[in-house]
Amino acid sequence: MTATLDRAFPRLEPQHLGPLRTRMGEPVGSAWRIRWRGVLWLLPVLAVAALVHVWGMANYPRYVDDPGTYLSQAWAVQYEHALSPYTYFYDHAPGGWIQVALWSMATGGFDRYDSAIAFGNECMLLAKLASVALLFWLSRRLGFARPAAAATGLLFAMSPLALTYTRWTFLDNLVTPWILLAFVLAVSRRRAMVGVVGASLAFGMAALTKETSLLLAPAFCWAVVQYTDRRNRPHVLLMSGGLGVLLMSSYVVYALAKGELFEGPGHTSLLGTAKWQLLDRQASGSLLDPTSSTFATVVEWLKIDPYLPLGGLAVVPLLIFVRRLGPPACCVLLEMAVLLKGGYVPAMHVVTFLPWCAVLLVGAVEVLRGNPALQMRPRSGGLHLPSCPSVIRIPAPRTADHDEPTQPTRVVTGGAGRRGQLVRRVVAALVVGAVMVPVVPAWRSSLVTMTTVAEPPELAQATTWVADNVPRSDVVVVHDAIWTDLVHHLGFQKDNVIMAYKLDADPAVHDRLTRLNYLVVPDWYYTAQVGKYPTLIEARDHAVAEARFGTGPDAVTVWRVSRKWTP
Amino acid sequence: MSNPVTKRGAGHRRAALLLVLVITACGHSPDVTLNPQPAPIEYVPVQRPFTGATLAVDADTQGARWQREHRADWLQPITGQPQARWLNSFHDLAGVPDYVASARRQGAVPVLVAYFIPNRGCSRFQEGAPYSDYDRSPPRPDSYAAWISRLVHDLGRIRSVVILEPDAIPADCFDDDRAAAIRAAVGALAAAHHYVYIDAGHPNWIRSGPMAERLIRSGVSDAEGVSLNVSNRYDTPSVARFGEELSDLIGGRDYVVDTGRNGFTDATAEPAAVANDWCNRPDQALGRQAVGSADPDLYPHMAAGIWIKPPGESDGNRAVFPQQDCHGETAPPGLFSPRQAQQLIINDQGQPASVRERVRAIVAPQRR
Repeated sequence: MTATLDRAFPRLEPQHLGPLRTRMGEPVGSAWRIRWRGVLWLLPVLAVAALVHVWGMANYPRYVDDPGTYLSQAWAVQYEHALSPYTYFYDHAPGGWIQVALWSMATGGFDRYDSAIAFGNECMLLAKLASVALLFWLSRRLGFARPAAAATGLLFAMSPLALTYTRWTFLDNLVTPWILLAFVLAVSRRRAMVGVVGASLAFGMAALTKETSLLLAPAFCWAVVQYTDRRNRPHVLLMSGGLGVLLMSSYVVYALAKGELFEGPGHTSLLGTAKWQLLDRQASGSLLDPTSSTFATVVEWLKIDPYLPLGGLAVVPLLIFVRRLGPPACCVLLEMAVLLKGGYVPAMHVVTFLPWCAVLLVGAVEVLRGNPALQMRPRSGGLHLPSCPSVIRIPAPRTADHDEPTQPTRVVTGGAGRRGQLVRRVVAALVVGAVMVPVVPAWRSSLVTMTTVAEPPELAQATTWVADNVPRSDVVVVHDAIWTDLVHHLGFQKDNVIMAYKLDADPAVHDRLTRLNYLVVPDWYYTAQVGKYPTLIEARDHAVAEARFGTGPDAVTVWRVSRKWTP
Repeated sequence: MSNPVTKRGAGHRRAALLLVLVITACGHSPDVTLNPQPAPIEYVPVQRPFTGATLAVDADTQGARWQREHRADWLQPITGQPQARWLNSFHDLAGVPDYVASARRQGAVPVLVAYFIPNRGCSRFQEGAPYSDYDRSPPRPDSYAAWISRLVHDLGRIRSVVILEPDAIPADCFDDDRAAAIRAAVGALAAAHHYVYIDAGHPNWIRSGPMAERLIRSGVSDAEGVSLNVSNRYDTPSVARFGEELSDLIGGRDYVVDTGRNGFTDATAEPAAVANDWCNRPDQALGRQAVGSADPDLYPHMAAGIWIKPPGESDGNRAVFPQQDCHGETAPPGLFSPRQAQQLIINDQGQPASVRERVRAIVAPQRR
């Protein structure tokens, strides 16, 4: 009987089938095998990135407004088990500072440094190393050669603009590794469900770290769709999309559980703040308007380094026709669209821009060089490049014990292949050389400046003065960068240290204000636009300057307010 | 075969260690040698010259002279009270030795007002100047130091209270030169052991923060304190509150309040109303004089409430101030006006009713 069945239904041996991806003809190995040649190229890049980032990071760049707030919120997560030392009003999704808090809990972060900003610098260093490594990995997956992938990482690591903005503890710097991870997992030839789901979850984490990363959703979806097989695409997209949305919705569910999703009296609300961010917030104006603050911000970026952002923008038209570089180009275009649209654009927006610029720039050189993985589309209406050798891969025959597939046979077709290849390589080398002529000296001098600032930041000096001279029972109004230092290290009560912008913005703070004793903020707070810090400016009219640190716009004056004055 | 993984692993471990060292070295805040600007200020101890002191009665005020000339005993409520002696010129210094000697005979502390700062008043108006000095051009800057030296010389060894330059610090034309001049004057007078009170305006003028900054530039660290409300009419509690707020910013200096003409205003009066109607307002009244604080618990740094601007001197007339309502007064600024003196006495609720009735019946002449 069995024999009859065998004849009717041939037995299917498992080894005849193999994994789906192998049957589809893609030569891949084990997912978890470490590719040592790649690591050999990556490690020097990481070392350079770490060195450039770390050298002088305590003194440059000067303190700005947001890093202190995020670090104080991370401190609150660890020590107060709350999302913020003040009322959390859903201005950003809390994933970013929760990650910082988790790192601090694991390593005793706030205790290891005298200043919270220094701990933030450490976190930014780790994020930078992760970003550089992921850039390398992404470039490799996009088909770049190893030197080119290393160059991508180096471009991002060495650009003065990237260095300035990645040294500050911004949420965008924590988003970059997640976004890059999302793209890395999406851009995979393995076409594994796990990969796409992982990509979606990573994108969800990026959105939870800073919700503005949702801007790149179209590019991400394009990347996912590009690399899924048409045959199971609906299934894959549904699964991964569903899980990603589920992860992102944890933020909404949290707000709902707290009763703070919808607007209402007496409490903050997620939707209320979202509405304010999108609609009511003062617009920075469009880049096309030379009088707008967006234009001024972009000019400031280009003053630090014009080459990386403008270079990345310049090659976008060329690369639109390269299939695999479509998503990175789309990212750059989406970021540009924000600048052109004219909504509220903060200065840190450039951080999301620069990794993609690096990818595009090196991608352009790779296309010039004739990288076979980055071919122009055949139906491109513009450039005609010398014909490249086309490579046909023939999948190796499956063997019974396959853990290391043999190399596929290569069949090279095309006549003018080798000479054309040489010409293209020379052209690419010349282009790279020509670009490096202006870039290398400019970057070198900027980097030298940024790594050799000797004077500690003025706020750090002021904190030392406060430690020596201010009674711990006094109420001190501070810049947010030193809030955590006063509370965690100097023994001030949390309620007695007030961030300057909360004096008027937070009703809970404003209402319980009974006295102010010291003002420790940079001088430019007092010349901010009218109506921004009324209580602070009023307090200064009843105060005498006790100490001043630094000169120029970043100078910090410590004002002692008269004890006989009540705010 | 030698394990390439182990070799690379060792190299990786070394690299990681180096990285950690670099991170911790560069992340740690370096030692900071603080050089805060400005250097911390040293304040001299407050000496409290008014504690238990009596105030000197000046027999040679404009009012006293007019009283003697016209046998006007009704002016006694004013002329019998201690008042400060104003020094507006080199000429006025001549009377200083006699004044301080007279004070010493009374066992009282002399109070003088130095009013000779270059560009006094920032404009043509010169408060307190006698009529004959009105059109004199302001003194040259280098003569101010000489004038202060003469003053120190003329004061001799009698420790006196010197009110320094009413309106000079709060003025719009306050600058580094003026600050330097005042600082030098404070130094010279303090070195001669006199008690200097630098004028600091009043509560509705320069606020305590900027005023403290100006005073520090003008050498208040060597001074006994500040004077407030000179020639003005803000009520004593308001002035004292401002004085306490200011005192906390300038090393706990004391303050003296001019109470010559603030008897009528109550604490609920709008400061603007007081500020706008400053020229011979008809409801002005004499205020109370006392050494020491009006309320030692509430106002611990109030040194005294004394008559600094002599009551009865006119604030101005229409000829000098066409834009201001001077209530029909014809005497120019600084000239003693019996009509003003009469109003002050009549409105003073602290005077006995009989005295007020008698003064009300007087027909006070207008001076021009």
